[in-house]
Amino acid sequence: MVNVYRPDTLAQALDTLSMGKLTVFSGGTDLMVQHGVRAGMSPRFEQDVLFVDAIEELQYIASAEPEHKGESGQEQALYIGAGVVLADIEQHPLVPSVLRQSVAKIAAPALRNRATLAGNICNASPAADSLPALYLLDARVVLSSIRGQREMALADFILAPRVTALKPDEMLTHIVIPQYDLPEVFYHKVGTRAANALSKLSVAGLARIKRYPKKAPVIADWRVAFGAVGPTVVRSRELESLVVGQSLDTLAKPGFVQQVVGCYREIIRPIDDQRSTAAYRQQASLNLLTRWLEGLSRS
Amino acid sequence: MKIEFYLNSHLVVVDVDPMQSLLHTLRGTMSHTATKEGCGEGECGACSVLFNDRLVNACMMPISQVQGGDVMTLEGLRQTEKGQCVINALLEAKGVQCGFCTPGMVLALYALLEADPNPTELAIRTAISGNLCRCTGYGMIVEAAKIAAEKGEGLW
Repeated sequence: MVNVYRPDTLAQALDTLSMGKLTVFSGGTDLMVQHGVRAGMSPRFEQDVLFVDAIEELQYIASAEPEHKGESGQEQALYIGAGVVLADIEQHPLVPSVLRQSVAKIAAPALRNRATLAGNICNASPAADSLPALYLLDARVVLSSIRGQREMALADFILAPRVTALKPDEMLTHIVIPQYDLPEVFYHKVGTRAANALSKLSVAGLARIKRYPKKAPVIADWRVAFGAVGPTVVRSRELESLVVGQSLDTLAKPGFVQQVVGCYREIIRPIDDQRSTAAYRQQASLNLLTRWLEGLSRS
Repeated sequence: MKIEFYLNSHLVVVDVDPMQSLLHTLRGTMSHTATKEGCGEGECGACSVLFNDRLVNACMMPISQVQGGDVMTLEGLRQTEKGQCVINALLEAKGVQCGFCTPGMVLALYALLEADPNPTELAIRTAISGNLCRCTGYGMIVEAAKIAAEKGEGLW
């Protein structure tokens, strides 16, 4: 039987973490499945377990909390504590729509009442539904240990499937979302059924259109990210620059959309697995990209 | 490990493996068998209970996390007027066949109506989207939600 710790302060949790190898357990909805043995038996954990669900300090959603302001130096940023469950993120008015929409597609209500955003990130599944939205928002993570805090881009934190940059004595304590003004939102998840299905693939998009009184509207910002089509989220700032700065008229030309889609065809290289085939994943991703571009051209 | 919590408003103490799921504590240790074990991995909703007034899958919660908390199962809910309202609505709509999913469904519908006394069809379907039923068919269960909202007017 493993030892369990369930501190109610972050300081105690970090102290415990510094003692040795522990499994950090928040909602535990992935951990319980991963460590399940069979019906009627307790799950088998190899390491001692540190429950962090009782830590009040990690349960907040707030814009610009000065105490935790990291090296990004953003004045206006949204901070989400690691203890916040998905159901609260889904309903919070300060959370960007693209993230709320993607969180609402994870599993079903009872699971979203326990699972956390931080857990979805640290699990680092290629099919993690919150990740495409967070990549688009240029989200950052704050990692804490008794040695202090460090902050990094989420895209640097997730190294490979199930692998993150977390050190053994660290835990993810805050998620930082720089607050962008990107009103055009696209989100589509493809799964076998509406609830409780892991993604075959997902596509998230964000954009801002500048409208001039006498000139054609111009796409001031445009982003797209693909989930479950590679080891980590696929997002290319280089390809995004093909679209940024174009007028909406250009976007309405079929040739232009085909050109952009053709570029993405080169970088979306999914695999076959139990949930879908590579060919389906690639084509459906590109179809959704086309839908996102065409929808935007009509906006 | 000794764990103390409120079960259906009564303070209880159990001495169990700290990683044992709340579901196993309820069924195996405490013989509260209304809460069912279906998939055991959070996908079927047969083990749904309310933990601190929120719908959760009891199979996914180690008992350690229940320390100091408040658990409501069907055994407790059916003693209340609101619980009876949902149960009667399910019977009226013929939303019960084998009954295996029913305790979880009652809890899910109760949680829905507590949050939203006049839910839309979409809200109802979303609320029970984590509760699988393999025989009744969801139409009658959705109907039950509407009946409970209507007949329980003023209650929610």
